[in-house]
Amino acid sequence: MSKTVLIIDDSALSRTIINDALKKVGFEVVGLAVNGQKGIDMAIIHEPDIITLDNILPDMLGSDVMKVIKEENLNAKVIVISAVGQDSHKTKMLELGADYYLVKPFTNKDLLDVIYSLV
Amino acid sequence: MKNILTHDEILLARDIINIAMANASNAFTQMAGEDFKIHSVAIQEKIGEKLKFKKNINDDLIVLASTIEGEIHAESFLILNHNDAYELASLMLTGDMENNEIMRDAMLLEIDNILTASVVTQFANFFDLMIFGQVPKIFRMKKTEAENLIHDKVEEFELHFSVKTNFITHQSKFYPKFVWVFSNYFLNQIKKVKENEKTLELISKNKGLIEKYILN
Repeated sequence: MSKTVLIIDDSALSRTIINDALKKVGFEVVGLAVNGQKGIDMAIIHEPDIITLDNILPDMLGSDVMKVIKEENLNAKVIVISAVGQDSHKTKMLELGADYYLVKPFTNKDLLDVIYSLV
Repeated sequence: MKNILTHDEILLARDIINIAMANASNAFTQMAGEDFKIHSVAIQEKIGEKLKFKKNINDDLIVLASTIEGEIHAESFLILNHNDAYELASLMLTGDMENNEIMRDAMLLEIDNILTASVVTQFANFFDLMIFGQVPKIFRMKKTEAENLIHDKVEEFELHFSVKTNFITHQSKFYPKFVWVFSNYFLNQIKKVKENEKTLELISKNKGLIEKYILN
């Protein structure tokens, strides 16, 4: 059975790029969320194996979504994908339980290398 | 005009800004797959002087604006004309996406998001502060409207420090402008870190970025 992925990103371009890259190699994308609240709702409904999470969303920060994922005991591997590259943000997200912090811009290979290392 | 920074502080600010802009150029190069450089980084430390674009700038512009929040307040503006947007779409989008206006706008917003964040990342690391860019906004406007939009931010910040630069690439003919307006707090940070060994070491470590990406 293919691994399931939820993509949480307000950028339509990022959602499309990540979605295409993952579908091409056989992942099942179960949801594309444009903001944090929709992402949380979809994560609870679908319980995906992997969540790609943008750090700055229109309605909340990625760290807020991360906290709910942990509170709800979801077992998804969380890859934060963000243009925000400063050390303090990376450390905070990893401390909250993210499995990896990938800084934009990235190549499809960068993304797949990270995902394959986690699942 | 009133000088707020000393000569040495201006040199320090110039180094930090050049490294941050070079980092944006590096990000642009990675995104577009073309060698982008930064041209003429103009730093202005002025009160109440309105930024004016050159007369040869196309009148119909696309302006991407990002608000920087956290411990430093600033606003960034990535300014392109419609031809720039088409050129970028042909570089970065494939198949049907290239001619889809929604995806073109999404691409521009994402470019702005990444460029702004690459600058913010450098400032945050140099000043050891928590700062981040909000979700960018896109506007289509005339040149004078864009000048007013930037001037409104200058007035809001009262005292300002601004940076104006161009990205250039030799492979394609387009020249997006990148303008930053900072609040007074940015100047205070420059004064604060001028004798901070960690910051000075970080600047010295990153000077290679300036040589690689900034054209004098």
